[in-house]
Amino acid sequence: MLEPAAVEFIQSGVAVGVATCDDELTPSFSRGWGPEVSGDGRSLRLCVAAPAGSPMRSNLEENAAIAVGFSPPTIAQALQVKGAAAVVCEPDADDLARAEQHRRLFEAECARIGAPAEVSQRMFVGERLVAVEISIAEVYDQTPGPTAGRRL
Amino acid sequence: MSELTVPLESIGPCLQGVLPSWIVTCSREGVPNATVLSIVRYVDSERVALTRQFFNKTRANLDANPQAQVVVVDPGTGDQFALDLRYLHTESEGPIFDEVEANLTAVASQMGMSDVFRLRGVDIHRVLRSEPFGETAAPMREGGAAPDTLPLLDEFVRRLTLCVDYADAARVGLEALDDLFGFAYSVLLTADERGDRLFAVSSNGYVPSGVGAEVPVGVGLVGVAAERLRVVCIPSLVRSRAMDAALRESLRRSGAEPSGAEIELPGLERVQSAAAVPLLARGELTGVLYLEAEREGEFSPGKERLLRILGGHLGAALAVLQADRGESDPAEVAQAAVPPGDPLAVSYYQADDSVFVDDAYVVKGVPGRILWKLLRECGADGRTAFSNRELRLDEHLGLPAGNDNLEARLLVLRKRLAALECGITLDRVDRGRLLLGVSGPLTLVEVPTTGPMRLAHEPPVSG
Repeated sequence: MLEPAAVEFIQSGVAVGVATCDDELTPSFSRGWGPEVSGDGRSLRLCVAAPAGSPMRSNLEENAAIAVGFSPPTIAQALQVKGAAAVVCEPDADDLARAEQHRRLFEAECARIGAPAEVSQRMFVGERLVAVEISIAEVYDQTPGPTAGRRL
Repeated sequence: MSELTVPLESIGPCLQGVLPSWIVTCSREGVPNATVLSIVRYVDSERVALTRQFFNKTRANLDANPQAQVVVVDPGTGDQFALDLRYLHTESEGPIFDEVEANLTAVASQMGMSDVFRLRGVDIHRVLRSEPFGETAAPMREGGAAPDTLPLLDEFVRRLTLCVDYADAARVGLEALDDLFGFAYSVLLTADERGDRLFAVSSNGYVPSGVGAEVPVGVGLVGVAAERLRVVCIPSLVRSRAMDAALRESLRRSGAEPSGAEIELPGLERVQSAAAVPLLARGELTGVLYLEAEREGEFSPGKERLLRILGGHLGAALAVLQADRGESDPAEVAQAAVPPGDPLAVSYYQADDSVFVDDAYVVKGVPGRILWKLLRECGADGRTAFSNRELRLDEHLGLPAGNDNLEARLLVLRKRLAALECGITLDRVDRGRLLLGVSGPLTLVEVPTTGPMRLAHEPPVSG
């Protein structure tokens, strides 16, 4: 279950990295947008850039295992959620609105390390997104230092 | 030649660590893992290196399943590239490890976190596939787009060869780095005789100049470059500082304490990236060229190579001019009448050879001893003309034979006096000759010490 401070961090506009893998244990990466934690802190919904035919799309469709990392561009803080993709579907209007809001917040995060808006905008993919709802099994603190990797 | 769709050489800016990268791995049980990492380093056309610091799960996964994918970002365009990797092995010594370790140590030392940043190893990965990621198209091949640096290097060397003395080369060298290569902020530091400290003799772009500032060897970016004899760079100081704050917080939570205070960088308030280049002569450290920039990622691998070449030429020119002792006897002992200005109260502290004029600190150490000698002789009989040679032969000054750094010490002294406008000046009037200027009668006070420096100030035992 995610604590309120972790929920706030996840939804603050930090970068979101999604990992899945195939049957050959080949990992695949995609960026996630617009994460939202459920009221009970036990599930997470977000948009994932996963065009049809991409490894990310087929992994999501064939294999529920998923990990989602959260970190600001300074990488001074990081958190990872692991679990199973319980729902994979077309994003609805709320999903897309959250993705767009995340893009704006992410732009501000990138500006803090001097990255101009056009650079952070290039990292956003607003099309061919799928909505993924994750049932959270594990949460890890990945903030650099001696406590990195601690299970929360 | 690389068979990769996107050659690693074509995405150099992505491999500087300006913007963080993501790495994903997978355990043997099929559990994926996503982690950010600060830098994916270029090794050669088929391999990259990742540092092993805090990525415990990533490490365990790679040991069980060597497949990984990283996504890197171009800090100038936001273009992204996915690299499919196969973990090969971990190196804990050798040239790649040494290079990465020197940079990490420099960053850690700069932030006062030397005990936390311990590089365990460098993971070497083969790049199986490299593709544009997201909305990115394949990068344009650069066909000789980079400016031709040879004419600029030619001009840099030409300007240095025209320099007549050490001070001239120190000034011209830094100005040329700015004019020709756009390195607008630079500090030249010289190693002291004992080899454990560096002191700033010249700077370009800074107000105040910072001349006279000292840096211990082994501490901070400058000190680590001097200790390891390697060029070290910080691509993003904003991220380094944020990381530092996070590490301190993490240490606090774990009950440990950071090892020391942050070493203040000289210079720019808005510094974004920095580099330190060791200067060598006869295989030994003679100084460090320190550079700062207001832009992240300014000191790329290509620039590092350029800086090594520029540092080589600058170091050689300074060494030649330092060795040119310009020995000449004072033809006549110039004596000036007591000047009519306000009296100057000068205090000299034996404990650290520091000199104060009207309570304002001027200089300490060897330049302090030199200034005190000149002022004492001037105060005794009005003498104002001196020669380098007599300074070298004065045993009270304690200049080591062979490598006395006298030119660098005099440069620091002259610049400090000029900047302070304290009524005392020291000018070079000819090869190896100095002219002391005082604006008023001198009142000299020597403050003795009972500490460890006492013996150095006792008269020699006769017989």
